[in-house]
Amino acid sequence: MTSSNRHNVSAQANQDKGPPAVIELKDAWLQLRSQSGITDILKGIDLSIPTGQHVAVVGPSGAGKTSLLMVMSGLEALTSGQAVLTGLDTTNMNEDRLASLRRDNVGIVFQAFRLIPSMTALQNVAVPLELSGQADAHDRAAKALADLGLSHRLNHLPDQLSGGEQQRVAIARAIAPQPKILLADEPTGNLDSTTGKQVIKQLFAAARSVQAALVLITHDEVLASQCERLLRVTDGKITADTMSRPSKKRA
Amino acid sequence: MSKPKKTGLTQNKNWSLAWQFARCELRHSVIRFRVFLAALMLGVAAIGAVGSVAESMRSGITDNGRMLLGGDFELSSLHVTPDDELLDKVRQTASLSEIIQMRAMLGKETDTEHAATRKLVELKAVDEAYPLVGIVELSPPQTLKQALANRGAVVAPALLRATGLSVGDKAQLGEITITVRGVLDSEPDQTISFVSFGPRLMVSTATLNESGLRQEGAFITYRNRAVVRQASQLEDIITELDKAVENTHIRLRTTDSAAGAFDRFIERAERFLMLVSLTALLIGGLGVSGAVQAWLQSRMTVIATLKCVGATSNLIFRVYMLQVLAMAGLGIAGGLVLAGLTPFATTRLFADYVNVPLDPTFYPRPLAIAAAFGFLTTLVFALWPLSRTQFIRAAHLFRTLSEPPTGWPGNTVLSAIIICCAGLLSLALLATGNIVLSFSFLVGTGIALLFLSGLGEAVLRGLRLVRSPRYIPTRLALSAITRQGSPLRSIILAFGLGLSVLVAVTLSQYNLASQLNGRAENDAPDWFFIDIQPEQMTPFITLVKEQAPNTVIEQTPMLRGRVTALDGVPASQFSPDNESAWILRGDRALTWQALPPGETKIMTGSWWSSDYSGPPLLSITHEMAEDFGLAVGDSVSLNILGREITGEIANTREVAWESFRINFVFIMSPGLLEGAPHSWIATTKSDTDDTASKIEQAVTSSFKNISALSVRQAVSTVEKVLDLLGNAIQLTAAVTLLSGLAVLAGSVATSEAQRISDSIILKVLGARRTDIILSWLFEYALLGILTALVASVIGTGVSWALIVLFIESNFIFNLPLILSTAFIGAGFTTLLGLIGAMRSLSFRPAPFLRETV
Repeated sequence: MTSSNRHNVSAQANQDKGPPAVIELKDAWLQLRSQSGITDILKGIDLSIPTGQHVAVVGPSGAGKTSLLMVMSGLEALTSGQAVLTGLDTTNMNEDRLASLRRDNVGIVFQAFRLIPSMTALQNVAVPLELSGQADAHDRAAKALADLGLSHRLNHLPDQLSGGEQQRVAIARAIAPQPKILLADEPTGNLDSTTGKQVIKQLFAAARSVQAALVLITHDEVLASQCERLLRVTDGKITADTMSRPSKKRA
Repeated sequence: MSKPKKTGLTQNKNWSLAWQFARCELRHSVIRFRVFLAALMLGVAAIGAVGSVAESMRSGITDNGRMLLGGDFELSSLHVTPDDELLDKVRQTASLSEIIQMRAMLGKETDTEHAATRKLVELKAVDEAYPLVGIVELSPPQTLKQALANRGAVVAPALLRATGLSVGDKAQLGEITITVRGVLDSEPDQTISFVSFGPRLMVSTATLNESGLRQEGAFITYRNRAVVRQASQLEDIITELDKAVENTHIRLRTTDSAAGAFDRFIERAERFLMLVSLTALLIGGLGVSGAVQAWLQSRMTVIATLKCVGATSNLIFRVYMLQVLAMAGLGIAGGLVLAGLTPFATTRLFADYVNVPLDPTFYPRPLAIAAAFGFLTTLVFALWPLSRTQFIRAAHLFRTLSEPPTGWPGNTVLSAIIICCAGLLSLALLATGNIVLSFSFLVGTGIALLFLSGLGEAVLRGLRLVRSPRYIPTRLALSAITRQGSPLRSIILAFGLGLSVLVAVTLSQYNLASQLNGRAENDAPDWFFIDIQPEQMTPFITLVKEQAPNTVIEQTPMLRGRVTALDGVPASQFSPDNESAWILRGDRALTWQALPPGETKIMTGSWWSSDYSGPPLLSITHEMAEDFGLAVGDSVSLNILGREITGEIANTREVAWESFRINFVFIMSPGLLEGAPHSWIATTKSDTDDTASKIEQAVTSSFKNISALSVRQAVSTVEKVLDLLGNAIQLTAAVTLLSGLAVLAGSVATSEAQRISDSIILKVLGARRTDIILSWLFEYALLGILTALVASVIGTGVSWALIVLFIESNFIFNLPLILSTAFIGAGFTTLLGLIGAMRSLSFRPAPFLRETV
């Protein structure tokens, strides 16, 4: 898929016509203070992502992709503007409310997996479910792992798993609470290409299974092209926002 | 599909979920808490051990109180027997036994002209009823009655060793010859005391009466022990007697105070050792704090991940709090096991000093106090670093995680820390029973910690200003010490405090021992001669002068009395914690003099005129006046030989007790007491040891009733006690140093990652192993030297304060001792630091670089 079979979209238009938005950014500005002074990371971004949409975010290093993802997960507070996640305005939320928001609505998959090394695969996946007080946390975690082909690895610690397996555990952990938003930051960055492809396939399937909006940060244009929407971020701004034409494959 | 392990958690109950996560986190990580565990264990063990040993001694005394006292209660008096009327009253309900105790000289019968073998003994004359409680065991086996009949005597084994006497030998006691019939294997009511002037000689009352030793004014103690016929009557009898003997020369002792002086000694030693142990624990607290910080730093990613998946700050605080508490539980348990075992290990050590059967067992109270100390110290030192978990943000996962967040804890945590500090203070109060001491100790330690922390910071800043040396290993060492996260501050703080305690203890012990010896060498007389009858005084002086005309003789009349009231207030109403309470406790020696003793420094008031003959005036020690708030013009009432005498304070004077010269708390104006039965006390000081011993031989062989006490022997007895106490304190101080070492080890471990990375990069750049090792050697040597210097200053300051302000003596500065103590400790720092760091050298560059670059 190339840019030729994509067309530019307006976020507003998308919101008006499609399903309800789960991520809405309005004039989002993010400034970070460092030793060299204040740096503008995000510069007035307007964005709306509806339920179930798969969005790829591409751009050069330092463009603000990760910061955008952090804002979408409530991990970074905007300097100005508004971030509404699953209909909730995060502007004045404290850390704990944001944590609850993430627990119930946001799943995150990291490049470096970020599994808790002292917990088994099953325990890792069960954490968000247990945090939300699910009585059947372990059963659901076991099912999520089984869906990703890891039923034989439930009681293994992360360092006893391969990179691909660790990332699949991370996907299971992200997807188990059935979030409305699934964020992935270079999920294949630490994997070989074959494993990477398998993991991506499972990530898309997982997102579809819970009808979550998937936001995928990647340097890989081919991978980006598998998403129905592509955001190109350059120097803290969205310089391109394109939708792919409905493909036969997706249909 | 492998079965999922159920953890049993089905609901989001915050604490149980926190515990579930904590358990996962603790898996395989106990080893990372080794410094934490060691630091806590040492402190708790020290506190628990001190308490347990003291408790074992106390319980030995309490359990055997009746045997030690020799009855249910005792009525004792000095110089004269208790009133017959009172004793007759006691006889109606109880069996009585009279014991007479005094000091006397015992010589070999065949050797009376060469009195070198004459020996000062603690003489005990017993009646036929003795012992009312317990059994006297003799060898060869015989009854006490048989052994003591017909001027027979039984003696302590030490007396046979000292005099060369054997069972069956004759010996000279006063005017008569006695026969040693047996050796005392066990004397049930043997006095518990560190200070004994001679071994026991036991005879019958009849033998004592025949010996001529029982003279008017002689320093004789009469003890009438009683065993009640009906135990139920005991309480009433004691209450009645308590009233009857109030303000008389008779003293009533019950089983509770069977070993009063020894009990007080244990209490004081325990109090002091407890505070030193608490220092060890507080240093351990620094180790706890460092270990918790290091642990949290290594868990920052996990904490961020937990936050990322929805864990609240509160839950995360609980997760890590529970881990710390679990580890604290482990450390405290280890400490308690060590502490609990100490009484079993030390029974033999103290058996020589305490003649009661020590029954080592586990004592819950001191162990509970030690555990509570450990728990509260953990909280005080861990809560702050734990509170920083709330500042770790999930966003850290996307950015480089390096330094842990800093900042003040919230109000809840801050309040909790303050409550725990108050808890520590209450515990210290419970453990030492002294609020001023506990409070000043904790505040003092706090100030010392702040001072050391400020000093560490100042040294660090100072070193940062130093120009980089050209020699590469030195430059590397300096940069390692001054870089961000340098262990300098924590090492100066923890290790410096431990080393300071050791310097302070060593220097104070040296000061006390030197002063005692110094005084004994220079000013002190050779002999104290006691029980000299007034008419023997002139022949005594003539005899001494005949032996050596240059001998300096000091003599004064003496009798004893008991203080009954101070300025009208009964003595029983004064606090037993008063520094001068000892003056009110027993019978005090007093004298009368027309002129002030030589070198007397009058502090307030003035001395009476040499021809004064009015109502009795008193000169008392200035210390006593200050402690009891007495002033010139106030009165002191004394019961002397059963008669109440009240004198007005005419002056207060400074007394240097440590001079070993004749000193009295009370000196009365002449007149009133001269007619009372009294004896004289005299001291002699000769030019040479030979002359001194010649004088002693001449006096004791010419005057059978006079006893000679060697000052040198008294000093060595006191030294023995000081040594025992000093060793116990040094041992405890060594624990504080060990705690400091644990903190040092923790610092080395914390900086290991940085050290590995440094050493690998240096290797890549072409540095040889020697260069790297040298740089570490310089680094730890510099740390060691700095710590030693700091410890020398603080330790000397503390010792000075103890000697000059507390003991009110002169401070002897001993630089070589200070420096050697401090630098031996510093040597350890260097060595251990280096050994710890050497591990980092074994890492090969390639794998590390592949992983990180």
